[in-house]
Amino acid sequence: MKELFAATLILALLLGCSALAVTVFADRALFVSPPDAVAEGFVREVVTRRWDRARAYLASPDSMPRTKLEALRSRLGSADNVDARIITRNDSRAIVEVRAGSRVLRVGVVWEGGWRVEEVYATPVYGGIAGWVALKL
Amino acid sequence: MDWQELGLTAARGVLVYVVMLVVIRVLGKRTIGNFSAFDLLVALMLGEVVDEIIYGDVSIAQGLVAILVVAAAKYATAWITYASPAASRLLEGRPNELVRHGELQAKAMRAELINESEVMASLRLQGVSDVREVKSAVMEVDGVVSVIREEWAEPLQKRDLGTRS
Amino acid sequence: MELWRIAVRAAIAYAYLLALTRASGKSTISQATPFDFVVSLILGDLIDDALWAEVPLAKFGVAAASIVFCDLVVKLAAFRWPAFRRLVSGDPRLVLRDGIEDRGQLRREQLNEADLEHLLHEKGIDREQWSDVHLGMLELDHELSVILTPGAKPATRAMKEQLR
Repeated sequence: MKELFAATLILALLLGCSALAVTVFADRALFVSPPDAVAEGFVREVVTRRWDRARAYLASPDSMPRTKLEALRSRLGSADNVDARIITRNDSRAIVEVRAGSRVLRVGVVWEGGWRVEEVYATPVYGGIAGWVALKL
Repeated sequence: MDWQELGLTAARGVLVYVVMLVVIRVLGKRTIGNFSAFDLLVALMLGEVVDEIIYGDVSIAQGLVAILVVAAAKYATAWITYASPAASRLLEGRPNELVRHGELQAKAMRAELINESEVMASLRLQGVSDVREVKSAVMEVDGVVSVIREEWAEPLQKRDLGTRS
Repeated sequence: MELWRIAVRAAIAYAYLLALTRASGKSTISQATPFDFVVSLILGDLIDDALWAEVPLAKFGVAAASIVFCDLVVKLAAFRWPAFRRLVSGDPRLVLRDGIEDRGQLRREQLNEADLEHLLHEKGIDREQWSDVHLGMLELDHELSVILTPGAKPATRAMKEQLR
C-alpha cells in the first residue's frame, strides 16, 4: 500500500513542478509543448489530411473549417519533411516559420494555457523591409 | 493545466493496460525460454500502438484494431508452428548441430555464420572447457547454444557412487 | 528546438520514471512474466513524445503513472488473492514427469514434443536421459526448471566419505 502512496507522491511532484513552472515562472517551452512543436504538429496533421486532429491544435476550432484546411493542404502539397523554427515570441504570442517540403509558411500561435494555432500566413513575397506582404490565408 | 486532458490520458492508460494484460495472457504461450527475437519485435510493435492510444494520437477504436490484428497474427502463427513441424521449420528455423563428438561441424557453423571462437565461448558459458567433452552442441532455434556432454564427461551422479541414494 | 531543452526534458523524464518505478517497488519492474516485459517497454516508449515535446511533461507523467498504478494494483491484488494471481500470471505447468511428457499440459502452452526436446537440450539433457528427469516444470517466465531423480543428481562432497 505504501507503494501506491509513494507513486502518487512522485506524480504529484511532477504535476506540481509543471504547474509551478507555467504559472509562476511563465514557462512556455519546457514543461509544455513549445510554439514550434505545436505549429509543426498542426502542419503535419494538415499535410497528412487528418483534419480533426489538425483542428485540435486550433485556438478556436471554428476559425478554420475543413474547407479552409483543405485549401491549405492543396497549397502545401505533400511533404516528407516538416520543420519549424520560432521567429519571434513573447509570453502570449509567437510566430513560427514552418517549412513543409519545399513550401514555407508562417503560423501565428497564441498562449491559452497551452500554445494554440491562431492564424496562418504566407511568407514574405519579397525579402527585406520594403516588401513584407503578409497575406492572411 | 488541462485537467480534462490529463484525466482522459489516465483513463486511456488504464484501458490500455487491461487490454494488454488480456492480450498477453492469451498470446503469452509458445515462447520458448525467454523472448525470442521475433517475440521482442511483436512486443515492440504492440508497445508503439499502445503509446499512441494513451497519448490520444489515435482513436481508441483504431488502436484496438491495430493491437488485435497484430495479436491475432501472432496467435495464428503460434498455432501453425505448434501444429505443423514443416511450418515450424519455415517460420522459426531449425536447430543446427555445431559440434559432434568433440568435432566442430564446419558446414553448420557456416550456415549459422558463427566462427570457432564464438562456438568456444558458448561452450565455456556452459561450463565446458574442453571441446572433446561435448557429445553434441546445438545452435537452437532461439539462438542459444545447448550442450550435451559425453557420458564420461558428465558430472558424477549419486547413483555412480553405488551407495543408497 | 533548442538542444538544451531536449536535454533537460530527457533528464526530467528519466528521473521521473526512475523515481516512479523505484517508488512502486521491485515487483513492477521485474521481468517475471512476458507481460512485465511489455509493461517496461510501454513505459520506455512513453518518453519518446515527451522528449520532443509533442506532449507536455504533465501528460507524460500522468500516462506513465497510470500504467505503473495499474501494475501496482494488479500486483497487490495478486499477492493478496492467489486465485487472482493464477488468473493474471498463469500457473507453472508440469510438462514432464519421470521421463513421460504430459501432452495435455504441453498443448495448453502451445508446445509440441519438439519444443520440449529443445527446452531439455538447453538444460543439457538428451532424449535418452529423459528418464532421469523427475519433474520438468514450465515456469511462469517460460523457462523450464528440471528436478532430477535422486540417483541422477550430482554427487555431493558429503558423499565422499562413503567412498572410503
